[in-house]
Amino acid sequence: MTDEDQFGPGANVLVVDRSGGDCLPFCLDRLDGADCRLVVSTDLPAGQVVTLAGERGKESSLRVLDCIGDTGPAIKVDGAPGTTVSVPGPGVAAVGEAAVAALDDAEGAAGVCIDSVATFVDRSSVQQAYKLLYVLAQRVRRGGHRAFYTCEGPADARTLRILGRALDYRVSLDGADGPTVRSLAGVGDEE
Amino acid sequence: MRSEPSATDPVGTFETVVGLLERWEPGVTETGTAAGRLQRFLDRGLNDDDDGVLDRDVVERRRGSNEADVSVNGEIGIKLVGEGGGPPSTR
Repeated sequence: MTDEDQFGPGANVLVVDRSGGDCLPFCLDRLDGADCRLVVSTDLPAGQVVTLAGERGKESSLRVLDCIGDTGPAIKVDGAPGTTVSVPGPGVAAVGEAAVAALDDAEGAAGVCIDSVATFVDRSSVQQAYKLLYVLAQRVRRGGHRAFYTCEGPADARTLRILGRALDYRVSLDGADGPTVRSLAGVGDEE
Repeated sequence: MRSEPSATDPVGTFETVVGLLERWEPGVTETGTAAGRLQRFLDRGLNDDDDGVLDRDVVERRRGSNEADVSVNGEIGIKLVGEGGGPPSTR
């Protein structure tokens, strides 16, 4: 079974790469085929995201939320038709509201990449990041979307364990034999 | 009724949860399991009806690898101990 089979509609996937910066390309590769794509970027400028995404999934529209700096007007970037960039600001609440609104506006099944949850934790707290992931994951499940949440660099195991509780799968890109996939199912609401 | 402080303060949220637990009476005035009653009690104590979806504290019952019976924002775990599932302990 391929990971694409596993990561079906409604799947929420935590993608961890402690050693490098492979998370975003990994995720973008798996957004191909979605009706539309949404990338929330906290670290990489929107122009670079558009360039990376342009090399993948060219047939679906792309919406980028540039969450690096202060809020501002929409950014014009060179990209395929259907590419839009908005700037909600760096605050976790503002990012969350913009991401939820973008998901609610999505036409069809969206492919989502949240890059990165480690930055959300740095900007707020584990609990606030968990709340954001919990809300987004619910939206993704209800809407039949597919979402990837990146975490690169040295990450605290406890933080990863907590954040993973809101999601469905965890992929590690650290292994020499390629990505390893683990289901996080079995940790959920009883009622 | 909502207990302060803001949920964006993890230590404050923990202290609020502890305060709520100290007031919790695990009686049988409500139906359901002790964990279910505690979940509803904490949800009511931590959240207002008009809180935005991203402002609400997440109060969940868990199973599987998580040993907590009820968790708050993924980080605060509550284990029910003793007969009838009380009194609870936090970690």
